Amino acid sequence: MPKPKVAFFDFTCCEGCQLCALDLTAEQLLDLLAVIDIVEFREAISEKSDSFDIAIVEGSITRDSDIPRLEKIRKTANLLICLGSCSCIVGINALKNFQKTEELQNEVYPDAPHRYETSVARAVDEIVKVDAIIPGCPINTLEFVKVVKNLVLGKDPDIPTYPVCIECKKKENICVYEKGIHCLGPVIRAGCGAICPEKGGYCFGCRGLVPDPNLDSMREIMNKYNMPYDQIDDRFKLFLGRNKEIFQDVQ
Amino acid sequence: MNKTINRPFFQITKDGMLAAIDKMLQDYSVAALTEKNKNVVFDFVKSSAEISNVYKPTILSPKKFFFPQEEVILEYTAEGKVTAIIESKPMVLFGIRPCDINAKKVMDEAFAESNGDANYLSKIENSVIIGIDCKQVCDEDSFCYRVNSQEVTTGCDILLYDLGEKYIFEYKNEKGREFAIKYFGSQGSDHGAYDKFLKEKESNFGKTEGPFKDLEYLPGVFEHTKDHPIWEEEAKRCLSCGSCIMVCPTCYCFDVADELALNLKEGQRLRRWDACMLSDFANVATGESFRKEVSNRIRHRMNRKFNFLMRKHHQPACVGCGRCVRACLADISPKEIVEIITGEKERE
Amino acid sequence: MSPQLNINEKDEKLYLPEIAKVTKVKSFTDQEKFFEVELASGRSLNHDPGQFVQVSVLGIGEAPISISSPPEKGSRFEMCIRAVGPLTRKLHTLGVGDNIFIRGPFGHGFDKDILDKLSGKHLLFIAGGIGYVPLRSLINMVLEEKEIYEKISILYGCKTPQERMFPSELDEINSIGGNVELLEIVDRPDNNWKGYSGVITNLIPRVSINPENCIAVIVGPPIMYKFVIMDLLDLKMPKKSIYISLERRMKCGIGKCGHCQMEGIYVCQEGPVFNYSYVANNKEIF
Repeated sequence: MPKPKVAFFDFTCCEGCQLCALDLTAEQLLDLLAVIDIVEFREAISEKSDSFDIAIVEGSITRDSDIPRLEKIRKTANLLICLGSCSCIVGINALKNFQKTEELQNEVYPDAPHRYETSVARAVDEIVKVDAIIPGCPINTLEFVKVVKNLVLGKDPDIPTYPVCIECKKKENICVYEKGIHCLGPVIRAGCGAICPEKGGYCFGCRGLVPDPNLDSMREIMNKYNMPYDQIDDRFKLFLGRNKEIFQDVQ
Repeated sequence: MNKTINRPFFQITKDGMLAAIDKMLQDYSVAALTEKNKNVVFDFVKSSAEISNVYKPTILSPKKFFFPQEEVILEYTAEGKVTAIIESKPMVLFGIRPCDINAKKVMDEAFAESNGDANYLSKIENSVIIGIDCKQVCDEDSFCYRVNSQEVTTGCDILLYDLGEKYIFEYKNEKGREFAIKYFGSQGSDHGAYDKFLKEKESNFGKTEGPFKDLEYLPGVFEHTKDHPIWEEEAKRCLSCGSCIMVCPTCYCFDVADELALNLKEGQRLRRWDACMLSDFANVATGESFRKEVSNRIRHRMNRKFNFLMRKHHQPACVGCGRCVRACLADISPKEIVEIITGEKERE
Repeated sequence: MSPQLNINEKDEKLYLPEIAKVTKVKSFTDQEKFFEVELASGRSLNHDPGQFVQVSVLGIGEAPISISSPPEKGSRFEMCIRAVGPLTRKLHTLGVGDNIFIRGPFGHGFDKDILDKLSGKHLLFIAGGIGYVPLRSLINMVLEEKEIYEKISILYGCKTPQERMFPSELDEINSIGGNVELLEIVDRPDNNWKGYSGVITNLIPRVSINPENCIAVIVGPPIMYKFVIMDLLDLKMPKKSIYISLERRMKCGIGKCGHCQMEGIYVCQEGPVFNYSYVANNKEIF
């Protein structure tokens, strides 16, 4: 079997997820390179290529001028994988969608509002077909390896459809709600190993909603644990701004 | 309860027990209640000093030692050589409580029935289970007294009774007898000490509500309440997060998955805890689900505990440990569901 | 009393699959392929019609597949596999000589008890789409001794003519005549289609059914059962004269993993073949 050629691309993002993808032991990296050829990866190599089988795309699409580039990538690639929250679910880039683009331009660049092109932030799947997502802010490196491996083998990407609570309970973490902390874990896709609640924080929702979440109940519970509804909205907003089932007013 | 039978009881001091555990550690891995991240969990200890003296219900039950969260069942090579992996090590599980002992009974039967599951059973076979009886209900979420699971008949090899300065103990089978003689000695105890313990236990549990109304008829009651409005009502709150199942000592459903090593030369088949409360549990290959509605999943789960499995095991498959009640942010409680289903209580 | 736990009775090979070689492959449709497979051990599957095996490709996974050949075909048996997931897509790439792995047979099919009840009866097979595959084992078996049945009627419905399973076998069945009849219907006929068009229930009134002496066996998509059974009950067929075979996603095949549960029933143990009277009140059946 010839090794599939893999190329990394980025749009609006911090490129941190690409760095995470490299955060492997030497042995893991060699094993990975035994099954794929990396032909373009700005963070790691200087080569560029117009020919690849798998495109791994980080970042949201926030400029209309990015669309042709993304479409070209899609056309070339057999498989397109979204890397990180920005490309999978828009993530924090969706915060701008709560404001009119014009307003934003004036606010950020009051001297030259039109010098910098920007539009509503979109996830990659709003523009082109996506074959697999590796969500997270940042991604989980082991999940990245697993998804790439599964796709190379012709399997489903196999990322969890269950919520963070499953992983948190398996680790026997005390539920952060017992400490008065409001966590989105019950409605957020697992795969992170519940790392934030485990370390005493809370789930921000960076991996996006599980399929079919009970958001009404989630809000009621957060409120029952003494969080006012407007703060609940803010908590959802950080990573889940794109979800119209939560935010009807988002662009 | 066979309290009238003249059973032999033995005794060992608390210090003696600590020394016995250190002695066991030379021959066995010992899992016991121990502190971890400001919490108590059942985990392997390296010395008796690591064992917590104060009992607090744990998040996960001891089932994790016999039915691990993730377990390799096959190993194979790219050339097609396949090996069944059945692993167990000599271990002592020290200090599990009546609820978990009764839960283990359900698990033992489930894995032994019709097709003996070697992965589970070999771990049981290789273990010595030392229980400690409870003198009172451990917290307000547990409801062992509603399903009579504060009582231990079988399910452990040795049962201890904590008398403060010492334990008295009895063995439940030959394995327990041999083990106790080897590690605990065989200093006899008179029945008086046991009777005193029992009296206090009965007095403490006598203050509870006692067993569910119609406890032994629950399978029939559940069979006839499939259309009860409670399923829809609970579904409105339920997050389908599956926490209740992770922490349940009698849930044993699993998923099976293949994982090829990154070098693509060898691989494993694993089984992992799964949960019937999750939305895609009953999906078939074409994506169709046979339990799509949350209400149906809650009904299924409760029927497993009080109907389907209860018929099979002749005891409720819910042992009232209260773990799911503590874990549920939506305050869904099997205790409350049963009370409403049987008409014992009305919803507040 | 509770069953006595006997931990000595453990089966160390419960999850261990055995190697099998693909001996024949045939494409039926874009989605379905026929496989003949031989167990390397030379052992005969010794299955009942209606049972299933767990098929795996190492590294990809395992899934339940129904056996579509009649019993006693030596160490070879047949399956028809629809490519719906990673495993079945992988199976579709295999050719003669390739290895797959098998556990089973599992489940409760048409065992001797049921088969004994069939002789002298009018057998009414009702299959929808790929549902013909699990039925084929029993159909081919009864066709071999068709004289002992009063009549054999096979009703087969598909979405399009292209989706018919085992098309050449269907033609053969059609030409048997005598007490054997085959009626086919498709939802969306093409220009070459000469048979009936519509849904499968349209065929039921075209068969003369004496509810006293008829045994119906139904396999198809979930939606089909409901309507077919309704029609049969309207014809005064007793529930106990209806058999169904159900699809579930078994992960273990041995009554443990829980995925195939239908209320309290493990389909992999008590099914996939059920007498309808046994499951008629089950809320999770279709």
